[in-house]
Amino acid sequence: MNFDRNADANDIAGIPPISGERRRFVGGVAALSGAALLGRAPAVLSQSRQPLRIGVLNSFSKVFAALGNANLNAMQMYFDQIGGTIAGRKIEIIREDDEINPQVGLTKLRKLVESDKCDLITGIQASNVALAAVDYIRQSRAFYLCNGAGVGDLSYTGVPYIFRCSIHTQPIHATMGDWFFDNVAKEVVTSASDFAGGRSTILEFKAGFTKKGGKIIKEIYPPLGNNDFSAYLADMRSLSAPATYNFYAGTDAVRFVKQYDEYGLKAKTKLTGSGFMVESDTLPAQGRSALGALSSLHYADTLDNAENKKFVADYRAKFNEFPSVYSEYGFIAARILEASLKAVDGNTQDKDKLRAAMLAVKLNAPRGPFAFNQQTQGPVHNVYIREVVEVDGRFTNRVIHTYNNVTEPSTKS
Amino acid sequence: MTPTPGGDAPAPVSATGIAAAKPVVVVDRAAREPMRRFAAWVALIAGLALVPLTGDYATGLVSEILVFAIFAMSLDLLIGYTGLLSFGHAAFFGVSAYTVVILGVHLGISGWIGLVAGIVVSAITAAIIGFFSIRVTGIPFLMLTMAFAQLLMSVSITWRSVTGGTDGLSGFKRPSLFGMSLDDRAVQFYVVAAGFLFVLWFLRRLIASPLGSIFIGIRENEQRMRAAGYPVDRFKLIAFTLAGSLAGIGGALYALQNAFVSSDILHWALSGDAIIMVILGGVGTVIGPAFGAAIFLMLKHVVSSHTDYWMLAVGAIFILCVIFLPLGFWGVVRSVRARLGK
Amino acid sequence: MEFVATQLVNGLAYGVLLFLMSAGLSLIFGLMNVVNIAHGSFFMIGAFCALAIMRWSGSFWLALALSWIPAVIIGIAMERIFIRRLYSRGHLDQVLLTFGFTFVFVDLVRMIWGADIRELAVPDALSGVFNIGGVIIPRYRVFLIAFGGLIALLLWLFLERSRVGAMVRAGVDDAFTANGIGINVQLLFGAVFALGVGLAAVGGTVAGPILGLYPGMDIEILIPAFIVVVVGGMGSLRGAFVASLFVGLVDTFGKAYFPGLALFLIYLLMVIVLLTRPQGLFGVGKA
Repeated sequence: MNFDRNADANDIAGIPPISGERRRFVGGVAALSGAALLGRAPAVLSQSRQPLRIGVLNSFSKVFAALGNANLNAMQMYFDQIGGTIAGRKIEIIREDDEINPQVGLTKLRKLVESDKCDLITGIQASNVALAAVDYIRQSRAFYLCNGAGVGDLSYTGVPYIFRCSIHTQPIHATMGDWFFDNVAKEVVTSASDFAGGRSTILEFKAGFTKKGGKIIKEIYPPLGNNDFSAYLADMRSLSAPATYNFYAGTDAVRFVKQYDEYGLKAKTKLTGSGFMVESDTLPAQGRSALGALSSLHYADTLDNAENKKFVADYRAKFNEFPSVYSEYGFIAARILEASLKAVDGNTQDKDKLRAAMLAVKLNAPRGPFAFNQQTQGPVHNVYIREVVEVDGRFTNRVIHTYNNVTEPSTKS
Repeated sequence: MTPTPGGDAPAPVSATGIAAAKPVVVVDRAAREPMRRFAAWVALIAGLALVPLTGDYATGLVSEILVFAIFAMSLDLLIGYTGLLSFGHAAFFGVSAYTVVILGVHLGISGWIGLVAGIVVSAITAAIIGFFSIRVTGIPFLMLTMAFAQLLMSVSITWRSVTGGTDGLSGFKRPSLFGMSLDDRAVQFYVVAAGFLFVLWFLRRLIASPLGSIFIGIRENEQRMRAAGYPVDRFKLIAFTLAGSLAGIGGALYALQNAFVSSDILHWALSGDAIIMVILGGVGTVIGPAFGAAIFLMLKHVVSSHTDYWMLAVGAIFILCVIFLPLGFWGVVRSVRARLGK
Repeated sequence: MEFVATQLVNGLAYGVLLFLMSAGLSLIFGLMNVVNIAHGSFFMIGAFCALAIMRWSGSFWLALALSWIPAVIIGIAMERIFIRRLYSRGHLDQVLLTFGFTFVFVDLVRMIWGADIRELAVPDALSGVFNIGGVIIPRYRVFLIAFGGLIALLLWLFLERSRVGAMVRAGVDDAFTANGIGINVQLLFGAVFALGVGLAAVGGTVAGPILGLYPGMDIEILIPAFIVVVVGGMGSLRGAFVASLFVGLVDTFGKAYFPGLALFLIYLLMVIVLLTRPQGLFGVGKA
């Protein structure tokens, strides 16, 4: 099944053509029911010039929909640029929606691996889905390149065929903690949504910050999905901290930053946080209220390197919008797949060889130089300290400091 | 009770539509009935036994359907037979799954013991929540069950050290049956199928029993039952606890199947999904919800592979079902069979 | 002291927001015994229509004035074509029907506007803060309090002081008899449903700048709206008003003083009220 959907995020999105969809739907239902019942796929003859089936499992509905689409868009864009084939094998992308639900994710994963007979799996943004998938990947020996979830535990599973090219959250936040002490303030109030990702972000920030001697005045944890932050903001103001360090995701991030500005905190209390709090999925809705916010992430669309300039230009030309960090995930995964598969001449049957080839990949990506950590098979890349600025009427991040070639700890702390 | 516009006569005391889909009790009428039923059971068991031959993928799908069939059938005991619309049924399913995984991951306890513990925990949870919820009826009951389930979900999100919070708990090692590990999809399937058959058998016996008749009586006309001297609240509590325990069987099997649990298992959206399964499949019948689970899951699975807008499709079908086919799939099958039988 | 005053104002503002969100729900249930689970969907539809109107015209006020119209049209259509068929059936069917609609509406909104989070901008006149003796209050929240109070007043006048309002109240008390004395209850049901969803849409529009717009916002406000309606009593507008302020204050002070319990406090409140006084603080006991 070819992926050909264009996500238009800025204006009234077109409704997918009805007749084409319906035809595909009916045909697809018949085919899929048959395949589902029989659990078989076309027999694989001589493997190497067979189409290269890449299973993309991500969230394409509910709150991560824009992220999943951005990811796949960029991946597809790169594959189109290289002619739709790698090592003589035509690329076939099969996409499935995990609905941010581990049980659905597992069902779809089984479909991709067992029914669709995908050669490789990539994707999964949702951390709970990614963690649920580990056991299945271990048992089925599927080859999985994670280009979404940043959850720490994924680096320490010990499964040889799991690679990650997105991020590990620890270096992102710990370097911020380090930089913060020297450049922002020696004491801070932290706040984050009270869920696993929120708590771990603060822990990771503290690792860098308190190691240098920084003092945490107070830690605040509003519930996930909170509507009204006024009580917490009043609390922050009463503490008269020089700065705050925060993490919220998606809509919570939008509300928090807007209300932070609404209540006039920005003037006296510097707003800082995880890069995801002020990224391209939230900045359009945050608008002016995010200006001046400091954050850390491995990417910014204003990065001044040749790779990124080309990536941004190509993406804008094709999709009529700027790429996000999630687009870059998709793009770098495509580059890595190309590099490793070319090195093994398209042979996806010999997983150990493919693994060795992938471990050896080093390339210049839009985010900067990239390589794999040889122990954890996670990313080694730059972490940037950024500031939200307005450029040509658009809110984005400008890099103000770079930490080179940072990686995660080799073992779980 | 419920005023109707247009000046119709007051609605009959037992409501109409889905709420009036007559609860189905199979009563021994002729000598041929037990033969027919026996043959149906044999066919079902044989069919299930053959499923693993279709390959790992299909087996996994059917296994998933069976787990949710248990969940939906247990909910129908409340909706279709006792007349209690609960929006918090996921609580019992989830609590049982959590018990199995928590015991396995934190204490290394075998999944079999976890299974039993899970059922016990869900039974106790159902008894407690039921005790409070039974005090109200109708819409307040709906909201109260939803509130309790959300409370439990909040606990699972914040009590991270035990439950893993939103990221969930992984690392569960599946147990073995007679030396065969449940990691094997076929073995897993047989365990789930056994659970499903047990729940099916149990519900049929229950509904045909005097206790079952009391439940139906409460649904038909609660006031009359009270007037006749039945301690209605006690029976409602029994129904609620039984339904919760059966959901707990489903939850424990879910844990064995996925070797993973996270807080979304307690979200009221899952309770909503179960309600859809019950309605689509046939409210007020024992096996209807099992078909509902199959229809809902397969529909969702197939549609979502082709379009991101699967919620639109599922929602539309559900709406049409509520309006035009309140008896659900199995309800329609039964009425067709009945008409043909005449 | 300043801290308490700040939280007080915050709580009131949030409470007013809750009132706008729940008034429609309460009204519909009170009169028609219909629990409109799709209530949140109209909230969302109102907000997105406001977004579209703002992008087209650049005016927040115009958006506020008009965004309820598409929602009301959809609501009337929904009531006429679908819900009306189910009046002779019990609550169960209506709950299920409106539940099914939530699926449909959220995907429709996503199809038209995409999945991204959107901003509904506050007009310049209302941005910025008032600083009253050290207590900081955003201007927009003051506007909210005033606007919500105005809506509450208008609703009260309508229900208590107008003929139509009297008919609605009669219908709430006893639809059967009301019909008997010549009130066209069917027309009334349609009108009340329209009013209810219109209120939800207006609520979505004014809440938009604070909450952000995204498909999925419908589910997020459903629980708070339910809590308010339960605590205040179904069908009682006064109950909805008092309960929303109460819940707003409890939520705000709870977060300020018992941060660990924030999530539970609201559900606990709902549970306690349902168990001790299921008809709510001001509700009329309904069979």
